Amino acid sequence: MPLYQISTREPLNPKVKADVAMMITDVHCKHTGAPRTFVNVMFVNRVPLSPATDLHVFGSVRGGRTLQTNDNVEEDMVAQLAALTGVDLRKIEFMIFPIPASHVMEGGVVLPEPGEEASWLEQHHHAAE
Amino acid sequence: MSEKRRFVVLASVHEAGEALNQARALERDIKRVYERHFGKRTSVTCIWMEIPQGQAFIAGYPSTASTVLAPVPDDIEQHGREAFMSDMCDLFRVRTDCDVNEIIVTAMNVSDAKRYAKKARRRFDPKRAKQTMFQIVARMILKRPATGYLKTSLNMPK
Repeated sequence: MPLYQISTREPLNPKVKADVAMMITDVHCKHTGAPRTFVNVMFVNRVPLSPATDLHVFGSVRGGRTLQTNDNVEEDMVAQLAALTGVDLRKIEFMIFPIPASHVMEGGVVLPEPGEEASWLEQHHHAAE
Repeated sequence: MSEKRRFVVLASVHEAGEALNQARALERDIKRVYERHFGKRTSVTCIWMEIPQGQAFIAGYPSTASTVLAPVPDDIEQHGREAFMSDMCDLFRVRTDCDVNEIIVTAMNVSDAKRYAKKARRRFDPKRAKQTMFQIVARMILKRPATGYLKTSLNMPK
């Protein structure tokens, strides 16, 4: 968590997928302070997207962040997605679904609330490996 | 007599991983965990979503992690949720011999899981949404006799 699902009608090429996955990890961590090992990205092909959309981002993220933080993630991510994929900025749709950190277990432990990552990582080194 | 409580578990697992080889045994284990935590009058449907190679990443690099969305009753307390998630992690580790970092469990409330699914479907073209959902369900049902479990793909039907 987060899990970003990138949906397109046709598959992106492997190099673009790898670049997009790295960019999403960079952008999410830059704006939220989350550890990189938390960031999951999946690519979904052949999605019958609505006509106004060529690329759809569905992010399941830990709840509790400010609207401003989520907006910053969206703005930065969408701009870089457009640059990496060549999809028109206006045809990228971005949705976030917040999930309480206490509802998710990774590395065998419940995730920390946003902002509590440092002390959590001190206790659970293995989850950052 | 009270009605059965129904849960749909969605397990996203890698095509080359051990989880699909163990899917039937994992299903039995998952059902046992649900019964132990939420009572015998519990009905669990497992859906196995296969992730093709090269379509999942963690920390920016290719991932082999399985993600399991396992809804729980809305009225569950946090200590019960944690115990349930621990049991789910343990059963995957035992059956598939995966590392603790290769299993991610999300135990949302049932009502939140329904909102999640509804929101995820909003990406579909409204004119094709029903047809797409029908194709996904049909594909799972048609393949069930051969596999013994409900399997779909991360990718949408052709």
